[in-house]
Amino acid sequence: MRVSTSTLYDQGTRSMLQQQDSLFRLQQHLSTGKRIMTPSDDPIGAARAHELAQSLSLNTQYADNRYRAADSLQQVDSTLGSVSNLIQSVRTMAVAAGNPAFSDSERKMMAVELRGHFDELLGLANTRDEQGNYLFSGFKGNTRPFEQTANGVEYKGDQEQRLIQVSSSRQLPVSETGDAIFEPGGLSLFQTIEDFIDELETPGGAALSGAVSTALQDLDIALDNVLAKRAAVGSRLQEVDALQQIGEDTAIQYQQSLSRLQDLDFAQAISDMTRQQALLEAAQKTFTRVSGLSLFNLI
Amino acid sequence: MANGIMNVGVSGLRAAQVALLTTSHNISNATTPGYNRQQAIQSASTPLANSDGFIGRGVQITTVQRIYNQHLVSQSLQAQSQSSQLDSHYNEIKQIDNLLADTTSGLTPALHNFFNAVQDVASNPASISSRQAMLSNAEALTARFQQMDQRLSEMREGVNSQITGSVTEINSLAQQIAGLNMNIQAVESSANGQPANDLLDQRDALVRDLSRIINVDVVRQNNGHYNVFIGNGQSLVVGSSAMTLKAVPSSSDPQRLVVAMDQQGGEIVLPEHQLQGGSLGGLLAFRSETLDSVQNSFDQLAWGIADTFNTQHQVGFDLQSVAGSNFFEGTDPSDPSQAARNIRVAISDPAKIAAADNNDGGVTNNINALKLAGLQTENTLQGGTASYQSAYARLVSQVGNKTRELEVTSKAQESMLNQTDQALQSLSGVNLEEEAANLLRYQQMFQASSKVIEIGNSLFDSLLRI
Repeated sequence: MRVSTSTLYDQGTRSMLQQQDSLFRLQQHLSTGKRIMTPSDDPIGAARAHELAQSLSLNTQYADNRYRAADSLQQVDSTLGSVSNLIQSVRTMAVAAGNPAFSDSERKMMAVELRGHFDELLGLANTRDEQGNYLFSGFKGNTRPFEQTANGVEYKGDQEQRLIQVSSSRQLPVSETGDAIFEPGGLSLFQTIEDFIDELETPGGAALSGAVSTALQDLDIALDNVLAKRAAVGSRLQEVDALQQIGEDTAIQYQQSLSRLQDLDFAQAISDMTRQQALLEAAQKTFTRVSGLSLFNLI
Repeated sequence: MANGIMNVGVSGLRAAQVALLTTSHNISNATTPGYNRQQAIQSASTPLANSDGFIGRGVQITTVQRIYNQHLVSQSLQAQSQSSQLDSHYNEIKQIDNLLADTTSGLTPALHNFFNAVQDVASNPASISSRQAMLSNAEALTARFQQMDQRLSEMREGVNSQITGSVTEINSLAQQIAGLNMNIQAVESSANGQPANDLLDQRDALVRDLSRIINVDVVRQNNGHYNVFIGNGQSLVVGSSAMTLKAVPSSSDPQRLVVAMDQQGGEIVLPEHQLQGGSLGGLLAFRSETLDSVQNSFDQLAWGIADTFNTQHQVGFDLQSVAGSNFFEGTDPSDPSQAARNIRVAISDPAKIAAADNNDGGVTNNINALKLAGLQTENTLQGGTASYQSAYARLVSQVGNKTRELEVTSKAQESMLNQTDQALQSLSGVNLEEEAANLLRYQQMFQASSKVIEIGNSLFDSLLRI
């Protein structure tokens, strides 16, 4: 075929430009470490990467949520622990108070001590979390759940449990309501203690043995209830732990998938780069050779 | 007889001179774009008839012609305008491809940060700082929508200014072609119909330039005029007159420039399907096939987020137990167009976030916040088939696919163009080796013809010496 001189130059230049373009792209991939620079590098992979990035981001957020849930549950758990210890102390005092050998003044002293326990219990029932929200008032986080009134201690919260999204499919209750803890079946723990204190303060203590047995009975019900609630909270804490483990495993899987989609295979890229470099050098050498040949050099 | 030899020798000298001139002309134009190599066509002069037979009277140059093939040229014009169309579409769409780029840029991170903040409010509904973070991240999300829309609008402006530039260029080329039609006819008739090779090349080069901007068809007239049609048969040059194109705002959207033709008593807008091929065709295809649909997808997405989020937000109650208002604003409830440009956060007071599902005054009531957070993964868009993220991912893959397709087809078309150009060059291009050989050949011819004259002269001398 007859080749025009322009074609000779154009073709030579074009092939060098092409090799250079490929080399430049490889260099970009290598310097960023990315396999997908823009969606057109791998349209399906790019779309998948966006969705995986969301899954990964959500997974991280669920992990944050789980820490928050664990904090709340631990606080509930430890408060319930204190409550059950307190009930046990009150129970021990009630058993001791049944001794008919005590005088009125000795019973009064016990009443004073019990009053202290009562106040302590009220304090525990009105515990706040680190953000200043009451632990046991349900959704009414800024309402003091238990108020001392003329009719005794009254519950002011509601019956709602706070929920936290701890995984894509699980909203975990992280609070217990005050009435469920301190007033099981309408039996108020505060009332039980108050009634018993009243009895202790009554001179003569005629009805004391009956009061002791009522108090013990009611305290046992309250204690069982608190222990049951605590067990429920404990199992939710375990669930959070289990989900945390799963979440960490999932995160690794997501990261690996994302890396497979987005990250460059360096070995491959470097070998491509070397090949491309050789091709460019070959194009340069042949171009100088071919363009250097001319009849004009000889005439 | 001696006189006859002299004349034959002179004819050879003259022919060699013309051939040498033509060769030098080829050499000096070896790199001139659009130049077709020229050839001096020699033929033997009419012989002298007498009883001895027909006696040759030397050589004459019948014409200087350019080596040219109409068919190859029109093939190359087609290839050029298709290649330019794909190239310009690719260059434009590549900008969007870059805009969407990877998962660390574009809309994705803004969307994730916003919903992470919503989750934080769900976990800490009474916390003002969590609520404030949700508002700030919502601002960042709407700002990102606006930035993306801004970039797309800039591309639209870019398309407009390129249309204006293309139209100016088409008009100027049309004027020049019409001028050359006249000029060529005039000079050729004054040269007894000999072809005005270099002017013909110039006109062909102008047509070639035109084919870079738009699809071109040339109909050659008997008088040598080119009648030029662009796009799908719109006439642009007829003989010595050229039509004038204009870039005018579209009647349906003043921000959108369209191409119109100046007519007596007004202008006629040319439909886009009549303006195919070339960089202009590529621009128009980019605008109608890609830019419009991408901007529309962004609008749909912004509108969808505003609509679904507002709907859920309105069934909730804020920290003061007041029913939730719109969370996002600025979008038209019944029309998604321009939603990405206009979307704003309606709330500035963190307490106004409606995290609760009733008005009992529960500050730790987070039921509605949980539902708002749940919207992130719910399939609320595109007829219940896509979440926000997957709708965006669809857009990304749509643009990625189209960009890739154009990258491949424009490369294929470019190599097609190279092949037709090579075929054209193979026939019409200057080869310097060939010209060097011709230089030697015609130098020899010149020297030999001089020798003929010298011999003729010496013959004449010997006669005189008698």
